[in-house]
Amino acid sequence: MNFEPTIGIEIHIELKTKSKMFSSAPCQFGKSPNSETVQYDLGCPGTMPVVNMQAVSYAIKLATALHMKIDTLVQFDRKNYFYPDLPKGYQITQQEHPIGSEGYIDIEVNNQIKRIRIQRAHMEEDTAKQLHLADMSLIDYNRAGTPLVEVVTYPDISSGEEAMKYVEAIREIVTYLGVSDGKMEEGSLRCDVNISLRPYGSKQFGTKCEIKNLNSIANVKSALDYEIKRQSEILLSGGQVRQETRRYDESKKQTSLMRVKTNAIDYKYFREPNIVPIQLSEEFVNNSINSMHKLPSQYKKELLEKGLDSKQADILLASKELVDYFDDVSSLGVKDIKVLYNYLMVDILAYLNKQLIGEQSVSTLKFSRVDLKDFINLICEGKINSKQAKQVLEIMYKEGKSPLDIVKQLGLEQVSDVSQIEKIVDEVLANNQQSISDYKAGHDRALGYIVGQVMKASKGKANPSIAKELILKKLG
Amino acid sequence: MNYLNLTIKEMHQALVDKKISASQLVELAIEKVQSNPCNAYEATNFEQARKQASLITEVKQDELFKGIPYVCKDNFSTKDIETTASSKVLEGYIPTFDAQVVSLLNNAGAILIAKTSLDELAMGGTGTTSHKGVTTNPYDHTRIAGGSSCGSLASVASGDVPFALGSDTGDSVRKPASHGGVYGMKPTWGRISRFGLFPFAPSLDAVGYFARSTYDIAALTNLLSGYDSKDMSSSTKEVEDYTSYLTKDIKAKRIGYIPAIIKAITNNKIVESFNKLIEKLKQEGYQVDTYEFPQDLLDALYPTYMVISCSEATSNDANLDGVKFGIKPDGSAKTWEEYMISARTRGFSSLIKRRFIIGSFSLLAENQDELFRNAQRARRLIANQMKDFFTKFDYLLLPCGRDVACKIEEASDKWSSKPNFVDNHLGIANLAGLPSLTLPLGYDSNLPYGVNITANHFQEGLIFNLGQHIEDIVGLANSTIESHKEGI
Repeated sequence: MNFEPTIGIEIHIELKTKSKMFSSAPCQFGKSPNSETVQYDLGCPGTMPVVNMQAVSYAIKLATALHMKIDTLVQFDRKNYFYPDLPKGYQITQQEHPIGSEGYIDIEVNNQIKRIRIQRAHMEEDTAKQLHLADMSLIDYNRAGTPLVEVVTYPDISSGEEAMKYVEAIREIVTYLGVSDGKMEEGSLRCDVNISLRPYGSKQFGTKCEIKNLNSIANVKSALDYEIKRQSEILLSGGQVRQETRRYDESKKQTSLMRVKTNAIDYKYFREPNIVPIQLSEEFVNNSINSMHKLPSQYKKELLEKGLDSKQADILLASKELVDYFDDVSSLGVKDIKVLYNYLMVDILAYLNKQLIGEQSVSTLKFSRVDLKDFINLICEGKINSKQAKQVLEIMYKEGKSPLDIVKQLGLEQVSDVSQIEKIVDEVLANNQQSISDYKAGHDRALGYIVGQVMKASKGKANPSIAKELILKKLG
Repeated sequence: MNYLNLTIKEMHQALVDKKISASQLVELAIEKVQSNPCNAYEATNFEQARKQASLITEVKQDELFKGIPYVCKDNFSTKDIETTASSKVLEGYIPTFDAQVVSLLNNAGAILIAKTSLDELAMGGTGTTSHKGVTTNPYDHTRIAGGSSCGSLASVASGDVPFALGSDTGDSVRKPASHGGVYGMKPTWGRISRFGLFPFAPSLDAVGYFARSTYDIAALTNLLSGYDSKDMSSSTKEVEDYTSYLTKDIKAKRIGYIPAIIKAITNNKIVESFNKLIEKLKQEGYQVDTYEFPQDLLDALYPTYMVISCSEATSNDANLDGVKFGIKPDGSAKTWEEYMISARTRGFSSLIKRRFIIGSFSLLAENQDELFRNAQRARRLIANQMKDFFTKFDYLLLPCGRDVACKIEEASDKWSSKPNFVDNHLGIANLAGLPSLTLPLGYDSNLPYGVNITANHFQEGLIFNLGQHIEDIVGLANSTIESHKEGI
């Protein structure tokens, strides 16, 4: 007998705001322990939460990208429990009125589009980080109060593959929006997965297990694949799945028991009394939505319209930095975007990959986006040939100069004026009767020789294709 | 001449006229604080106060608070001064920041002399539950000062300082003010920033203050009111010049009172004074009438207050776990659970634990609708009733309680099965977020009692207008234990 997996995913996304959700402390990853804290983050009595409106704006962008309804009356609740990493003894969250509700995201699995419905997206504050040593535990409050958005799906996911695609899609969206680093390995994107199995056709859900500690997208898939196998085996042997929380062990590629879930903890939620509900203005919401960075889906549509093929678009989309750069340069008015694509993805990337020191990033390039546009258009307009292009690009890398200036300085500009080239062609033909005879006798190589002579006489500036055309015309 | 027995306004004039210096005032206040017999103080700030005073060479006419000594309830965060909220759980906690109101006073040049005792964590109405024991009433040390702002009351009523900061969640400033014959103010919820006030129940909490004249209370309201970006619940509503309301003319004349409460007052002397006051007010041109407040809502006052305040308190005080500051657990704790349990078990008194259990129980998912949410519904009904009241009246005027301060052994903070609305009606102002002022009304066998004015939201100015008129009628401005004794 086969079973149908039912999977729901909760993703915690750390927002990349300048300061924390409710305090003025900065929040950057990797700073020395407890250096990014103010009194609020330690739960000092008398401190009060002040809502970070940048975080609210980011949450609106994310909820909009996930096609959610936005609740413009922002309200917060307290979730009460004791834990060493929870400085106030409660977490401020949005239990009753999440900022986003009822949305969806489309993912592609086996060339088919599947829609995953999203139940809610709510804002909350992160906990501190614990460090357990042999004889003591230490607490780093830098993370305490970092803004989080938790995105919760309906149980619409039915395989490890789908789960992976879903997390990937969310990660892509948050990084494109610029609202989060989306780094699972640094914990800026964390996911908990709920999975149960039931016989195909059954209406009742099976008993679910929660899997925690999934710190890469690949682990999401392998943990679920393992868990589906484990639960299937239990059910096939006539056993019953126990409701438990499990952790994924990357080295063994297995999930293992963390704790058996008994009665759910009662978090004694109630409205946060220090934050009077905030009615967002239409202007604030619209500004947040209108300033949203382009999403991958939108980019892809545009790139296809501009003339790239699907594969090229996907390669570009794998890097937000590259696609942003590409989009910027092409929007400046590039004559042929395929030429831009080739130069960016072949020449420029190869150059960046060779750089041993510092970041291999387009942001380190010395020339501007306008320079690159001018460079590509020089090629598109036939003003420089590919060999000259390489020469110009080398100088651009080194000196960051405008390609227009470089071309002038080196005297490289191709002559494309037909009458000018015709004069040279006439001269060359007059002095090379033997080659004309050879060509007419069927020796094609003679044509190349004549073109070469024209190029030589023009000091390399003649547009070779125009020259060739003229020669052929004259030779009949 | 006892300069400490002056009001803020008079003391200020003496400073301006150089009849006394700030340093001399501070020395006098320190002496009084040290010899205060009421057990009214926690940490002191003498050295800093002396230093601050020594820098004051001149006080200008518009610098009302410069050089004026004051004390502050020990549940306001004060930088570098141990702040325990009179609880063992916070012993050794030295805050690194000042509460907003402390900063405002500091910037205005007022000089903090000491922190005052309170019922542990401000939870209580008797002033008997501080970790350092009972704070007594300056008029009779066998009686309570009232709470929770007992130390601040004892300080101002003893004439140690002309004013003190307190906090008011149910009546924690206005009830003790009545027991000590001074003025006690709780403004509209949101009028004054609560940043730095240790929360008891934030939806009810208000910064309050004691002083000895309506003018001083109005001047303090001027200084302390206003929006603070550190407290999102503070109001952006414009701060008026409240002292401009202290005129002879009547700015609003409809006064209402609740007959059921008058009827329930056991001390006839209080009723007599109240009736006499009403007659005088009528003669001056006020209209005074009765308002029937539904009895079931009066009976609901105490349970509604207890459920909401305990629920919020159990959450607010969850930060006191011994992990970050305050009490350390005993050495035997091996797990984090044992660590927190040890700190909290030893840190809180049994009264506090009982309140936490009431709060926790009320918030449990299975009880929340019947208890916490029902209390919120009752709160809304009470607030709506006051809305109705203010369509007919400008002021609610009532005596503060059924009697003068009781004997210490009669005081109880136990949950009463038959709540007495007459001793809890001041909580209406907290449940509905209204401004409310207690003023001295009279004495019974040398024990003071007060009268209370409650007005509509942000009508502090009207309160001071009526307050000034009552002050003129009653003639009890600036009474301290000393001036009262001189009087008799």
